[in-house]
Amino acid sequence: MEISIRDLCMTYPNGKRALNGLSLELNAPSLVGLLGPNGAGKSTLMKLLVTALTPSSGTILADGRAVAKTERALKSQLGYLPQEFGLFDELTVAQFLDYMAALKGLRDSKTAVRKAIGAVGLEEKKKTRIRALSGGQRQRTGIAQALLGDPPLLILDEPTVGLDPEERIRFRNLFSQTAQDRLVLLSTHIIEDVQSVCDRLVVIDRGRILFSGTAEQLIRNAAGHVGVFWEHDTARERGLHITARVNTSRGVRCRAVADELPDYAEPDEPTLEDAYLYLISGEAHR
Amino acid sequence: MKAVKYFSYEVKRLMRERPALLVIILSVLSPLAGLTLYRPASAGTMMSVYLANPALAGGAVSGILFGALTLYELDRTKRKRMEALTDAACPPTDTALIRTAALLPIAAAALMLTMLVWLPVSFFKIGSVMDLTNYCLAYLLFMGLALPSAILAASAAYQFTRRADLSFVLFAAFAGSSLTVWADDWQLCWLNPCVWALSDDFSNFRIFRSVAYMRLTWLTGLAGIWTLSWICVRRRGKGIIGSALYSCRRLYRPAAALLLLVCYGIGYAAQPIVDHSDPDPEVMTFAELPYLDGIVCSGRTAQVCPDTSDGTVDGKAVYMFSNSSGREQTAAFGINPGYTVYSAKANGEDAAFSVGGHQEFNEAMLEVAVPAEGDVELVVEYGGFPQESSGFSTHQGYTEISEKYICLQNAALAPRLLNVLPDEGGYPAEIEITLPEHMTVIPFCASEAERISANDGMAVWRYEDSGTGGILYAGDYICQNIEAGGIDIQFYYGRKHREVMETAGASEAVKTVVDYCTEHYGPLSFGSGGSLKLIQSRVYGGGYAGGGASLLDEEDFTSDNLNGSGKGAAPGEVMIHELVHQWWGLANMFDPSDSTDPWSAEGLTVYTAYRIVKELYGADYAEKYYTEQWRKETDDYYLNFYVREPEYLDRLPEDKRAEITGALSHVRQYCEMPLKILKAEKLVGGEEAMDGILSELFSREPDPAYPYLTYQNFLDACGLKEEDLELG
Amino acid sequence: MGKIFIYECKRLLCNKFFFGILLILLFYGRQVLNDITIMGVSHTAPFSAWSFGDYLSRMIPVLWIATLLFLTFFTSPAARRVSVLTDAAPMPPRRYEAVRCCAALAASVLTALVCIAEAAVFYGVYFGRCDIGSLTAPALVTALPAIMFALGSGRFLGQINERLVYIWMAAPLAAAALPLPGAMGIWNGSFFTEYPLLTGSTEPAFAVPAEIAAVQCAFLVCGAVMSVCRFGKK
Repeated sequence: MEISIRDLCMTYPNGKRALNGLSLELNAPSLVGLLGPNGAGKSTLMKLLVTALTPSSGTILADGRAVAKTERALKSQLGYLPQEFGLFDELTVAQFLDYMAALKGLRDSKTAVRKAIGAVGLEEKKKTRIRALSGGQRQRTGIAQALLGDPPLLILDEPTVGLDPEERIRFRNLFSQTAQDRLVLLSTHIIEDVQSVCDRLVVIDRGRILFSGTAEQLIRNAAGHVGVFWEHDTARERGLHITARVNTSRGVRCRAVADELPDYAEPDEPTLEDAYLYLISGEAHR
Repeated sequence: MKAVKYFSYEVKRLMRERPALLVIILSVLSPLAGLTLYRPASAGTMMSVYLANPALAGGAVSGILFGALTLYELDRTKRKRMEALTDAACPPTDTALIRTAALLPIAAAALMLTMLVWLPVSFFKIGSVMDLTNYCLAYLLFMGLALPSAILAASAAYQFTRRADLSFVLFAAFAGSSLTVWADDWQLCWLNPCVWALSDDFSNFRIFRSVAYMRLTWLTGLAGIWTLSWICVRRRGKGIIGSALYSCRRLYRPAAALLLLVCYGIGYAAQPIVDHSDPDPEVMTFAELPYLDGIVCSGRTAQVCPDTSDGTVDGKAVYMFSNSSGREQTAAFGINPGYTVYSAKANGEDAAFSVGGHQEFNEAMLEVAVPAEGDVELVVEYGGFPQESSGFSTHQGYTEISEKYICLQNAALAPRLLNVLPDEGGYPAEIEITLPEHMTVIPFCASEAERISANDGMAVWRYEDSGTGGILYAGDYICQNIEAGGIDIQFYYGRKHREVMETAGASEAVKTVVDYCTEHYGPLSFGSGGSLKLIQSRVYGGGYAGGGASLLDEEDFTSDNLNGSGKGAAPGEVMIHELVHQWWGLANMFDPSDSTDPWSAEGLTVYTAYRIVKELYGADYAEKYYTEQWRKETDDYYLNFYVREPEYLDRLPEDKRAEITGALSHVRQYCEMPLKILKAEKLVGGEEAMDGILSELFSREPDPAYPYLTYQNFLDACGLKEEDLELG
Repeated sequence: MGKIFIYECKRLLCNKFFFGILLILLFYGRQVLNDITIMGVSHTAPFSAWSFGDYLSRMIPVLWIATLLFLTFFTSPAARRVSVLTDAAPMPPRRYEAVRCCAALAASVLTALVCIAEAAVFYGVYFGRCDIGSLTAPALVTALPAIMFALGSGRFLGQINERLVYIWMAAPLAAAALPLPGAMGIWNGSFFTEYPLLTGSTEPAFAVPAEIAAVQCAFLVCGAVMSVCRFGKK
């Protein structure tokens, strides 16, 4: 599966410009992490990819064919989990997945449903009505429907929201395994998830791509711009982006990113979070 | 301060909540049910149909809606799993109190809105007899107070159970009981008060007082139950008992609950509205008392002062006895059970007296010692709020005492002598009554009341009567003197009804009918001394006549009835119809036991009205608006499936059969029977011959064992057989 | 397709809401049968096709409202939230909509059958007879076009705005109160009360004049067309 996005622009009817000439190439197998602040355009990009929206301009090609013209073909290869979604509360988990399998036209729906339920660990809840599920279980049901039929393209918008840490780790590993032979696009705010499993990062802000590459490349960009220091004069710390602030017996130990570190700060090795914040804060400055 | 802020926040929040708005909107619409589905007030007055029923339905429907809203709102924090947050910010008992209290302004808003929306509708439908005081009281008492009752009941159920579904079942059962099994118990039907009628032309304070009493006792009781449930509001992780024990550390809480419940108990048991008459109508011990030996009553007087503002009566009755027995004896009187006897004096000395606990036919027995003296003047002072008979507790309102209307009957007027015979002059009585100046006093007897003095807006009236009892009407009446049929008729009707009566040509109708019927059938037997009083009474559910007076129920003269096409083509003709009932329909003229019998008061009344109309407007008019209509309706009746195939009617369950027969009987009584009488008229030789027959029947000597005029009597008088009158 | 139809039927029928509708329907039907139909319409027997047709025409508002309520299962905010998932599936939206409409139609027809069954039981209990064959024609002429038109028009309005579906529920009540032309006599019941009287017979055989049949067919076809058309934009 290859996705090619060229000069994609999206302006909503209310005049809000969500994407601004975005171009991107995505090839399977890959697990692509999509990062960006709130309102950056991540969800809009995903909706355009699943043809839930029509772009204002630009093209999206899937395996070389425009998705607008091959909507059915694209959807037959797609597993999609939106950020906000509803479920038929009156059906059981298994019934709902069976319903979605029928909608997706899966031949062996029983096996697909069983597999999806197994993948998200809802075996014990498969006969429970959806209205009786907890928030995390509903999220897992949503993930299960996206995994139905092992689609070659998985688009997951904030899939680990509402899951406990153990489940979150389980699912990011699942996505990683899934991505071994297909293309998975994962949008999240949890940097740790991206660092752990994504082989490629795309950072978007204000409808444009700020960075596209590996996590190491992003971290490298921030080298020399991360420092630690003891807090003493808050007035002098203006202009620094404090990323951590730890109270100790000796005082307050701060960690910050900046284009130019002050002389009292000791340089330190950047983490992915530092690098991301450095990228976003730099963009904000500009 | 914090509580006030939270309360105002809750009220504002509720005002924005969709369920609350929906409940308000449905409550505003709920009186519609009273015009269609739920019509508990059975009387036909305009106020009953277009005010009492909508307000009662509004109370029942919106009460249930507010109960459901209460449960929805109280369960909200549990449903949204916010209890931990709210309990951390405010004690659960405070939030429970404020949440319940916040629903009350919403209920008040719903009531105000309903009253505003329905005011023009009521004015339009009720017409000239609409009254704003009645309107406000009806909506406030019938509808308004149902809402806090429902809110308290639902809230208490929730606070006890902490489960919305279970509370809803409990509340539904409580409301359902009121609407079904308690519907005929005026004290228990907390949601739907027992109101059978509201008067158009006169006041309704008696029934309003009764409903207000019921509402207030229930509100007290429900407030007590609610306080008890409030004590049980769960706190600190404890169960119902633990929470109650914890709450009871503040003693005022259980004390308030207990006080409210005790007040409810006392209010329920010691209600002053209805008496405790023996429910068995065959128990007539008062009537079976043996007469005293050697004592006769030579006369009596009574001075009665009704207090029109609080509906009470104060009176002094004086009885003249001649005691030839030479010993002290005990005279017995029937007195209204609501009255207290303040004193009894015989020849100026205190006489021993007692009021018995046993009550029958709306009377308690007062016993007074009559001393062993030759002539004894016995003075009894009494007074209080007259109670109505428990046998008619669902039909309250007869003993109305207000500035607009007073009806005092027998023992409610003055103690009624039970066991003393009269001397040769009967029981001559002189009654004095003091009333507001604008009221007209109408004794229900041949004599006239005379205004003897007036002072400070009050007037004293005096009239003479005879007998041990007596009935007195007074009110804001208009009197028209009409000479007709050789007698003087005083036609009394309520001032409010003037427009309706004038539109319907009431006085002309009276003259026409009395002239016609007296000439054709003979004078009314209850006319006395060449005069007759026709008194329009407050809604009564019927009428009665005797001793020179006859009662016309206001229900028969509503604009709806007068404009109905079933009894005449125009209001004036309906008026004629109702007045003809003075000849065909009162007292023992027709057997009332079977209301579906085609032979009823209506056949001869409709026929007579047709004859009068024929005389007034000509044969063509009478043919078009009467006989043609009868034929059309009768033809339809004969084509009716159950008339053609009576075996299907027989197959139906008894209640259904009675319902259908009842529905069909209207045509048989109002159309088929007049047609049969018309046929008989032709067979006996014309109108004159029929008039002769009817005159004979009217003035016949009734058989005391069965005094009713039967169809067979009619056929025999005509010399016809039943099959002769078959219409075929 | 079949599986989606079954699941949609299950969603519509296996819930408290449907049983609530049935209870209201049965209660209202009982009131109509006991208070009006039992008297017979236009001198005909209570179990005649005319009386039965009159009963059904009085039930139309409830069936209409029930049908529109079924449609709200597809147009409600909760249903719209699920559509972000179903829209991403490859099934053609038109076909998916058609399957859902069929499910709503099935639920509505089932509701109408309950109505008819109630009348049949009523006839059996009170009159010891129930000729289902004679009831079929009035049922088809009265209930089917009403249900189909409610479905099509409701779906059309629901795609514009869900609130319009609720407003549209009042339409048959307005029709019952308005003086409609004779050809629309089934919508306010006047056909069943007036037409038998014109025949001059006490128990006339059931017959539908051409103009009534044409109007009912028009409603049926309009409803069916609107049920399968897709409106709106992405």
